[in-house]
Amino acid sequence: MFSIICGAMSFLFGRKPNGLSMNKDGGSRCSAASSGPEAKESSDDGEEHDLGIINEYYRLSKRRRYSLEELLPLSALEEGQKGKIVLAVGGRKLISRLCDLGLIPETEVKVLKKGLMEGPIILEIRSCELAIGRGIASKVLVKPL
Amino acid sequence: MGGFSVGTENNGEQKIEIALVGNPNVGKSTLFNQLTGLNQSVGNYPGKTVEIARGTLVFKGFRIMVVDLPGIYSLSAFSDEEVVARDYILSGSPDLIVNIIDAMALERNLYLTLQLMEMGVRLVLALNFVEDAKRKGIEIDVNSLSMELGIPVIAINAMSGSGISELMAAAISHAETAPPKRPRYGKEVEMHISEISRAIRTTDFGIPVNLSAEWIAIKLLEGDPIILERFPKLSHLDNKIRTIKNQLEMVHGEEPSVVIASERYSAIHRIVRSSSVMHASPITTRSEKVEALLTHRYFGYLILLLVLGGMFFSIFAVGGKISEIFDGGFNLLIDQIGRALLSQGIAPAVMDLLVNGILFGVAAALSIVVSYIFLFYLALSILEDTGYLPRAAFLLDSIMHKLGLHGKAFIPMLLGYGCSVPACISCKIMETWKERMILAALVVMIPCSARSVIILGVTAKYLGFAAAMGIYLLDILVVVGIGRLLFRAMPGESVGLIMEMPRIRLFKPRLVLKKTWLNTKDFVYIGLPLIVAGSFLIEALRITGFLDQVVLALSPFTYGILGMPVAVGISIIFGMLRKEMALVMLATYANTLDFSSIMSPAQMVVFTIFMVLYMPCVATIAALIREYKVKWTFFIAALNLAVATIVALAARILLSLIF
Ligand SMILES: Nc1nc2c(ncn2[C@@H]2O[C@H](COP(=O)(O)OP(=O)(O)OP(=O)(O)O)[C@@H](O)[C@H]2O)c(=O)[nH]1
Ligand SMILES: [Mg+2]
Repeated sequence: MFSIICGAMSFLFGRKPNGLSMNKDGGSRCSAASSGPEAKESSDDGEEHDLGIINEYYRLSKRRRYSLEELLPLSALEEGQKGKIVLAVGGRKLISRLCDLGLIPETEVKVLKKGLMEGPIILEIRSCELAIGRGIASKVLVKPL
Repeated sequence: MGGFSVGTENNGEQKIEIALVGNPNVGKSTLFNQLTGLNQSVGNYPGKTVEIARGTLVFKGFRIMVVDLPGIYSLSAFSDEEVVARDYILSGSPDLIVNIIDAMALERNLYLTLQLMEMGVRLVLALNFVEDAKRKGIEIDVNSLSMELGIPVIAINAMSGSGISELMAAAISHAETAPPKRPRYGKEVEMHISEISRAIRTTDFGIPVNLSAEWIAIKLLEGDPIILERFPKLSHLDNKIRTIKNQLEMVHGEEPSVVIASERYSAIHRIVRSSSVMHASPITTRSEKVEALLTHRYFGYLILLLVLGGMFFSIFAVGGKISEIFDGGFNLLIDQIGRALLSQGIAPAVMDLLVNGILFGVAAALSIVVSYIFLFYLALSILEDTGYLPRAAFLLDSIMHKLGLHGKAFIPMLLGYGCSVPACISCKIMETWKERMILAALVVMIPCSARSVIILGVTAKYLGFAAAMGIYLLDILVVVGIGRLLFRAMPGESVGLIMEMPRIRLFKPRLVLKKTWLNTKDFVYIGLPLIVAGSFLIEALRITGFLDQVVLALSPFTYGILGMPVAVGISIIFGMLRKEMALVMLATYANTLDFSSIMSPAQMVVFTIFMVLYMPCVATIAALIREYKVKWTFFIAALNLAVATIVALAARILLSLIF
């Protein structure tokens, strides 16, 4: 019975039915994340919310294409550094606004400016310049390039 | 533009309605003005237009109603402007939509286009800023873009008006054709869309026929909150949709709304790739260097200080000079006319009425309007058109967060130094109601140009420039303090800053002057006659002694609490009507232009502080009621009065301790 469902899914979606295996996978990784040391290391500048975001990422994301150590919040990129968006965490309203402006997974962004004193960040995305608050930027996870 | 004639009456014309839809700051209002000959205000920052405007033009025998909408990024229902725009489009009222696209940001702009296509509306694309794009190395093949999308695409220049005849011709010829087909998305998403739309079509959910079932299906997948509200019967589909959304999320590992956004963007990417070339020439242009400097983490603030300081200083310096010249000239004139009238044997009382009542009013009004109000608007228009305001908003974001607002709030605040009415309306650029209400309460406490006249005409004139600056600084402190209080006291969420940075442009002197005039016009046509009439009235009432009674009735407050001369009651009364009347009426009533003869320096300070803060004028109150309802307006007025009294009283006590 199970194999029939799996077969049907792979037929319909043209992909491996990875929904179930992902769950197992995620479970084990999650425990790795909660065991701590790696996660702490990855947020090297000691900003507390980084850890929260990364855990959130593990909890929410069902497509873990990158390992935890590879990712940073957008707010941690330096001026001039590029990154690829992996995930944004936040309320529906925020996510929808970010999507509208083209901040969706797999999109390349470049940090042009970082404001003084936790000020906002200016990004270059899809050849537009966009200013977003630091708080929002810390909720967007990127893979630095 | 041979075929155009604006709004003339003609029989037997066919009527069509077209709506201008597009991202913020792409030139919709500029195009609207070109088409209709009207004067919608235009500015180089996102969110200039916050209300729908209509105008008509006659073109090739068609009577075309043009509708200018606020700029939007999407048709999701997450901001009021989007809901307004979407409801208007859905109402079926426009025959066709002209979607204006910024050629420099093709991908982002086409995101809205795709959503319009999903809705199944008739579309024509107007490609603006083509020259700018070419200069940046972006070459767009209009024909292949049109082929790829299946929509007519016309390159225009909204500023110069080139291409807009073609645009109107295309609009007319497509006003009755079948709407374009939207691009196909990924296999699974399409499968779900057709599954849901089939369910919608086969059951009666009370949806009007002109709405595309596919569009509703997409909205349901996205989890659009308003669709269900509008069509409650759709909740029968709840279970089905939940299952489908779970499936989508399982496969893609993303929220369904994010999946759909990704699908749109990848379709756009395909289209853009095959219809435009990006020459690899990432040389930084001069304007890009300027842009980088303006938001520099240190130089940026230095420039901000120089820009704002320079702006205020030059207004005061130049305005003071102009006003001096005017005053001198008018005094001479008044003297001479007075003498001439007397020599004609006219009774002194009548002469007083004529000279003091009318001439004096005209003179004072002109020297105020021309010198300060005009200059304020000139400076603001320049700042608006260059695109500097969003940069300042970026720099001031952290400070605004302390008030529970974010950087964009700087724009209405700065506009507040011009006039409170447009400033209150522009508070709509904030996303949430809480932010809008707080900001509106703060913006009215910023001295508008008419109140600046009081600061300059009293404090600066008799106590020096530094004292006037002190009043401005004190005002900012009060605004910050009240902002913090309101932020603490009010429930509701506030979101962070998300704002597009427009390109820096040289302003066009002709446009800036025109805009300055449009804004100053009001003062000339309404303020000036009111001042003259008021002067006349005061002069006439002086004889009856009625004014003395009114002013005396206010004296427990003016003299008793605040220790000001009794005569300033006149300023308080007329200032509620229009702020620019306050000083002139006082001068007429006290029969002197030399305020130092009726007020001590300390009284001047108290008077200026009170006048700056005490209450919005009638026009502002009307705007507040319209935007924020009576209750909040009442609260704002009461708050202002209380704050003005407390601050002025504190100043009185403090000054009496020092001197
Ligand atoms: N050089 C150039 N500038 C333009 C053109 N069209 C518009 N602008 C400028 O672009 C800025 C924005 O124009 P608006 O017409 O206010 O834009 P909008 O789409 O109405 O913006 P919102 O009301 O904020 O949605 C203004 O500074 C215009 O002067 C154009 O074709 N060429
Ligand atoms: Mg506009």
